[in-house]
Amino acid sequence: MADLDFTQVVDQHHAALFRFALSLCRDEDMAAELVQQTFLMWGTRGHQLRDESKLKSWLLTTLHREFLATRRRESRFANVEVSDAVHELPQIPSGVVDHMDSGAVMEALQQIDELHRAPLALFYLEDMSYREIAETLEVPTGTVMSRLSRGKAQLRQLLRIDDDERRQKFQLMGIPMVEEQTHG
Amino acid sequence: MDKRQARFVLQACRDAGSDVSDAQLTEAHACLERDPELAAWFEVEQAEDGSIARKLRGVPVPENLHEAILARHAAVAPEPEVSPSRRRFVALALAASVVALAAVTVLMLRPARPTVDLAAFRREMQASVSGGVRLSFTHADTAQLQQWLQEKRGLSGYVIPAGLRGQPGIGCRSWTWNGQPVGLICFKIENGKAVHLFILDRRAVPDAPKDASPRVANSDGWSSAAWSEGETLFLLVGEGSSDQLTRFL
Repeated sequence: MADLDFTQVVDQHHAALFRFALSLCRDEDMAAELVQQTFLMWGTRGHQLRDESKLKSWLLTTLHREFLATRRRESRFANVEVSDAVHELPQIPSGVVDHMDSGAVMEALQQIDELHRAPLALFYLEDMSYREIAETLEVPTGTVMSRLSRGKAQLRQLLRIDDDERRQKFQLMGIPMVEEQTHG
Repeated sequence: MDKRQARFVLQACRDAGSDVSDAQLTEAHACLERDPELAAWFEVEQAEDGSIARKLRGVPVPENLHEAILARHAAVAPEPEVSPSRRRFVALALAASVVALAAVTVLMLRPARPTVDLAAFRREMQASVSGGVRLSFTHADTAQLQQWLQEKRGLSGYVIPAGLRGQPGIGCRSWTWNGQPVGLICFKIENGKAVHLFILDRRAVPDAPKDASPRVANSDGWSSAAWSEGETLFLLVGEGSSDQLTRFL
């Protein structure tokens, strides 16, 4: 494998790794720390990677493993209670997510229980196929499909709650909601 | 494949065209042509996924993260590179003798091992504070800082050194080092300066001191003192001479 300059690898992948880490850790400092740990490991073990095209997957897998190892030593964060009967929830009204800021959508993702959060994060952040997600997280493809299904349902419910709260706030303030505008 | 199965498979589908080679998804796509309700659902699902993905990918990244990664990497001493001329010598030695071949190969081609000794720990921790450190939680009461570290990273069961107990706190944060959480508590001292106390499970550093006798080192105008109490390794880091530091022990 051609020698990959460490700085180049950081340039190309640190942002994506941070967003994935943030979805897992729910804390910006811990996410940054996790990313630094991952690149440190790349610095010492990256020579073991034979196929350069697998670099990003290697980094994401390593980061996920480090997250799991760290999590065992830390107290669990309380998860938002999500109803079991969420699979058949109607889809979110059109344009709702577009009116939210990125931080709010990330916060919703962070509230999903950890088991479902990681595959969902890879699906949305890295546009990975369910097979690629299975390889990265080292779980069977069927497991990924199930976790994506449930994770999406949980996220949908949380985004719906967020939108309802936003609408109520605007109503209380007497401010009309600005829906998607069309021109021309 | 019935409608419910098709929905289950299609919810894992990425943008149209990305998964054309996947047999399972291809079969589920075929159901869309027969079922207008399913097709309408899929259209909304894809639009929703696209919106969520765009929002998540727009989450900002800390401005200093890139530099912090490079700085941390630089603080860990790299294994020396093998020069090209030395490699040619190795190749000749390999051809000449099987025994020499094995010995030189082991010595020259061994994989780089991560440096996790006390010297590396000192170096990295000093580097993490010498350029300024961003604290996760700030409070003058060190008991509050200790509580934060316990709640967030499970760090507990240690006692602040006697020389620091009267000093006001500034804040704290945490790292992971060799797989273990490291706590940092910063204390305010005279002239607007600070000293930084790192707390770590002693087992994370193979050559950590085994007793409370401080091992002092100086580097680049900074001093550090390392000692252990029970299973806890302490590292106190401060700018200036070791005399200015050890008075806090």
